[in-house]
Amino acid sequence: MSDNAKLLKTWLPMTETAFYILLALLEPRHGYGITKFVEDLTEGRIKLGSGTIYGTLTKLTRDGLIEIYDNSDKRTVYRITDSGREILHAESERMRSVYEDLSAVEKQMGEKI
Amino acid sequence: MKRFMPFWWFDAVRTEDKLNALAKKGTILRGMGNLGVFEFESGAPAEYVHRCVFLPGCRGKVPAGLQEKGWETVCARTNCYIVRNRDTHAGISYEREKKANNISIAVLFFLMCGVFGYLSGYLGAAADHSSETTFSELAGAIVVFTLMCLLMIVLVTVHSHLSKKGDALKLGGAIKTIPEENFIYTKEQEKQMKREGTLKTSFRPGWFYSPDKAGEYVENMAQKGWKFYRLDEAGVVFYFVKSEPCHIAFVTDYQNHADDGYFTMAKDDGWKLEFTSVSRVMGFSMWTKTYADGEEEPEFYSDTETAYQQSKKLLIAFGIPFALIMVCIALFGSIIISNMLAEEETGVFLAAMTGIYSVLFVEFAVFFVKIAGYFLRMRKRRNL
Repeated sequence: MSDNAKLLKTWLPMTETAFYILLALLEPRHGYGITKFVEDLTEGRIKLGSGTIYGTLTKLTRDGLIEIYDNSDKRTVYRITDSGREILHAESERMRSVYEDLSAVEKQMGEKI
Repeated sequence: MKRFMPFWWFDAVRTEDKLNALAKKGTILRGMGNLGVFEFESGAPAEYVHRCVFLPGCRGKVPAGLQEKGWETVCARTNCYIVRNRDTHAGISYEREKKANNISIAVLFFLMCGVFGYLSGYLGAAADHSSETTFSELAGAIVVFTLMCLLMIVLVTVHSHLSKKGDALKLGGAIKTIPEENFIYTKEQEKQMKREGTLKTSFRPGWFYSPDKAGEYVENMAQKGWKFYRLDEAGVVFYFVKSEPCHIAFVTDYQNHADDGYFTMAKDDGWKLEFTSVSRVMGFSMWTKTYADGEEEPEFYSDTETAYQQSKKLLIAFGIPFALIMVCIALFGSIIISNMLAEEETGVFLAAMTGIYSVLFVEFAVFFVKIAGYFLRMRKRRNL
């Protein structure tokens, strides 16, 4: 199995936390920057806890989906890698399919589920 | 030119100082061979700042943001790097204090293993009746082992005292478990408050093996008008001060690779660091956050999966070793006591041995039950 296939098997379907962290790291950000980005994007629906973010960052770094960009001060800045972009793209495609399936069913029923 | 520096990573501060000094004399680090052999080349004397840093997942190159600030990789061993910069004021974040402390932790650990191995050999020989090892030799080994344990306690105490005083052991300065700013009151004021009944303490050994229960305890105390104030430096005594009933979230997190980014992120999010262990082996950090009546309780883990993974880490790091220790204690204890009974040994020595092994067994059993209970609760919460 190729490295990419292994990563796809490990990370897909993705947890909400990992998905939003990857989304946040399309630009270099530090830990609390990720929290704020996700909170603003989801209008407060998702507030990631520090322990959850740190644990997920560690796993994503270990698997090469993100990398340390800068740690010249006390805040470690991360960014997404090429592998991370591929996994994020695959997850986005999966979620689009799910949404399309849901829309098709709702259309057949003539009402929202 | 080559130099042998086998413990370079365990005493990072000394390694960095040595490399800076050599560069000033025109001996520039070129790379690193196996087993801590450093390779140097002669060149023009240069002002460099060298740093030993832990950079996971960087595949042999310093991160782009650091490169832009002038940092370059000299050599790397897995995730441990030696980097340098011409700008001697350039910053880089790394775990100096914890790393520096690891040399003593590692030495003590290997010493303990050695003594344990030696004792195991003696016990094995004593259990084998065809061997020439006598019971008095076995008793001698036990005495040696006990003395070594006492010596280790003294060493740890002396080391922790010296490292708090400063650079006495050149281990990178003070290593503190509690941030200085957490001590709002002086020792005298605390004594006075205790006499007046506005401060109380609670001794709770091993509480961090069931951190969810500790969180509930601190919250209950706060609601009864006893607000958490601080822990003692060993992390086993809770200090509370009299206050209006309030709410406080108390979380214990276990991370064996907690870097500066971890601490800064939690602080930026409003959490207050109450305690952090001095070594990676005991990688506990305790955090608190106060919140108002009617407000949602702040969560350090925003999903049940992370909380479950935390409990699993604790089970693997401590629960399983404790279970093995319990088996060893039961095994050693039964061999020793049965030997004593076979040789018709009675009196104080037999009672002392039985007592020591029973207490040790019960202690580890209690810790194991706490960890297993925590794991099962978190698993149940996740599966709900």
